[in-house]
Amino acid sequence: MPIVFTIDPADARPIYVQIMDEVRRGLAVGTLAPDEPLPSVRQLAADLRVNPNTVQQAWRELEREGLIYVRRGQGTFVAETVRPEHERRTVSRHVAERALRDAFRHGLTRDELIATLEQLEPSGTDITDETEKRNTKGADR
Amino acid sequence: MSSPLPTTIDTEHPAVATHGLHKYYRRNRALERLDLTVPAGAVYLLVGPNGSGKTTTMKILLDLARADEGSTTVFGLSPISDGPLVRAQIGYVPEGRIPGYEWMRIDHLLTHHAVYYPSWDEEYARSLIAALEIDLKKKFQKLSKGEARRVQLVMALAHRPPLLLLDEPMDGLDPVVRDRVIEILATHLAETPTTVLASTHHIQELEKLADHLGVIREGILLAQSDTTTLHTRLKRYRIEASSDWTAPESLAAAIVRRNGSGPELALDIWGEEAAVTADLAGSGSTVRQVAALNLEETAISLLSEPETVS
Amino acid sequence: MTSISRPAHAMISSPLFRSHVRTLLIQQWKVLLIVGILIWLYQFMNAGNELETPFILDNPSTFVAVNRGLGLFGGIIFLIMTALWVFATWEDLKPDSREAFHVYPVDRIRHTVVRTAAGLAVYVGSFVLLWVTGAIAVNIFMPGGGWFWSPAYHEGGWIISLFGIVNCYLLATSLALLTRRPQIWFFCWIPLGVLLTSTLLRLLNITLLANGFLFLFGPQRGLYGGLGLAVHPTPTEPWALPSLSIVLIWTVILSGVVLLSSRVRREA
Repeated sequence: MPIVFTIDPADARPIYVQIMDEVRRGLAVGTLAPDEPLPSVRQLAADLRVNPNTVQQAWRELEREGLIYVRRGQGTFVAETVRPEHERRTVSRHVAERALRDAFRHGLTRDELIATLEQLEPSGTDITDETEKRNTKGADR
Repeated sequence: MSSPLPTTIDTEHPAVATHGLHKYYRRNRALERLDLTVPAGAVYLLVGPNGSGKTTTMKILLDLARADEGSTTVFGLSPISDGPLVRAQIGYVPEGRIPGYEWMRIDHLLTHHAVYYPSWDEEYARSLIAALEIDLKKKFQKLSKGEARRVQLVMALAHRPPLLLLDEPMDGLDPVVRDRVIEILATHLAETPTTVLASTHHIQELEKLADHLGVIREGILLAQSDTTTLHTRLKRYRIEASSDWTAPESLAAAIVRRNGSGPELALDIWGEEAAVTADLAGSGSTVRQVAALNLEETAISLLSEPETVS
Repeated sequence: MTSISRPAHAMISSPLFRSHVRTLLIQQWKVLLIVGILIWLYQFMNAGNELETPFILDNPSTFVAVNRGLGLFGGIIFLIMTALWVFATWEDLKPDSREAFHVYPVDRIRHTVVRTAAGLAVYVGSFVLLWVTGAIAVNIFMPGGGWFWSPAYHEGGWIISLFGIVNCYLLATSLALLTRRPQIWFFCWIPLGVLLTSTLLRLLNITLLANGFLFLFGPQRGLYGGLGLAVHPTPTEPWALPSLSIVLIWTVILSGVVLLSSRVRREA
């Protein structure tokens, strides 16, 4: 499996939405290519230690959005017609919405957030930064 | 004053349904007016302090104990009059060790156990034994607590019953084995349509498998609901309020838990988020944050509610 | 009854019974080994006694004494055997174990019957096997030492005693398992214990006390007769009563007392 699913039960998003977002993340970045096979419900449920119904729900919703399709007897695959740029926009919107919510929670306005964002250096593929951020904001969720 | 917390689950053909169960041991209340509902296909976690009635409830489902009042159905059948039928559909992992078979070797114990269940899947049993690293040659009495639990899990899972009753399934297992068990359960659920009723203290680990939660204390079911509803309806509101602030009338009953003495308070409130936020703001407090709770926090919160049953 | 019940009930036949027999054999092979050794020992001793009979008959009192001694030894064997069986079966009936028994998808009465029948099969079957092999061994190593029906075996008293013990076992185990009251199990063995005691006393020539016992609880001739099927009144004991019925009566009375007393008490 080219992507690693990360699920956080404490996240405000239901688990099936998180799974969907993980797939979208893979599509946006390009690690999940069109026609790529996805793990079976059984496999992913076991790997993530989640209820299979949750995976089922994620797969159903993704299929409805046209991002994946089921080939009878062969499994689930990424749709051919997936456009990474579209998924990038969706992911971007979700991230931005979360950031905005977080900002409001801390009493910040949208403009303040945008101004700060423009000042920040892009962190690129800095994995260490991500981990640090996650650790510090862990308590404040 | 009645609690607005959810105490009923609506479902047409529940796997398990108890109605007004009462049970007393001598003078002690074991269960009171228990109306537990487990929908078919659900993974229902029953959480509560030790001695709150979780084990008693399961025993009543198996007819290993009888309620003093009330009725029970398992897949529409009565455990009392249709005992064998009901028990044929249940895989039970009891709290503690299975008594009575201490002298048996595990391979023989499993062979003997398998005779009782026509749906016993020998291949599956073997794969579980391998996955859980069970030593078949050992005698049951020589097993550690964790090893015994693993054997009992195989005994319950291998015949793929429609209902799994797991009483503290993780008890005595080290973290690695616990993780393995959860993986096994997730796979099992994907392969076999199963309803699970599990009592546990390890809520966090089973959280991702669970889709229903019931909270019980001193024999009384304080609340039960599907996890989506709980996730949406029970939230922690961090507010700033003056020292003489009191909760508005509309919210008084819905506040499940209260933390802090001010000016910052954390209130766990049951209700629709927008309405609650509006009520709080309207009462003169400032809502700083609304956070969702994970299942363990939810359970702790619900368990901290003082008894409001009349 | 839906189709799901069929498998469960249909199972109360060979596979379950066989599995219980196997389980009991595995559990109690040590008991059976001890019993086997004792039975063989007894048979060889009896054979020795038998072969010397012409000599001993010259002195009837010696004959009687030796037979009494062997009777005592036989009685002790039975006592040990019964005790070993009692404690072996107790494992099944301990309050904790009963749950392990009752959790299965089997009608409880049928389950108890199967379990008890398996116990009987193992008990009676192994006893017969040990007896027969012992008798064969005796006749190989001590030709003329006697068989089953030899007078030295006190008119097949072994068989009679066996039935008596079997009866107690049947009643004890099945009642205790059915009612989930292990106390009944002990009660059922009490009449047997009483009979054994009185016989022991008699054999040790403490006749007066023994007769007192016997009067209360039923007489027997020798250790064996009293435990078994029936004892006919004799010229010397015109008031003899079928002892098995005594055992049965006592079992029913005591079990009834236990059942009633628990019904009166409100219990979990």
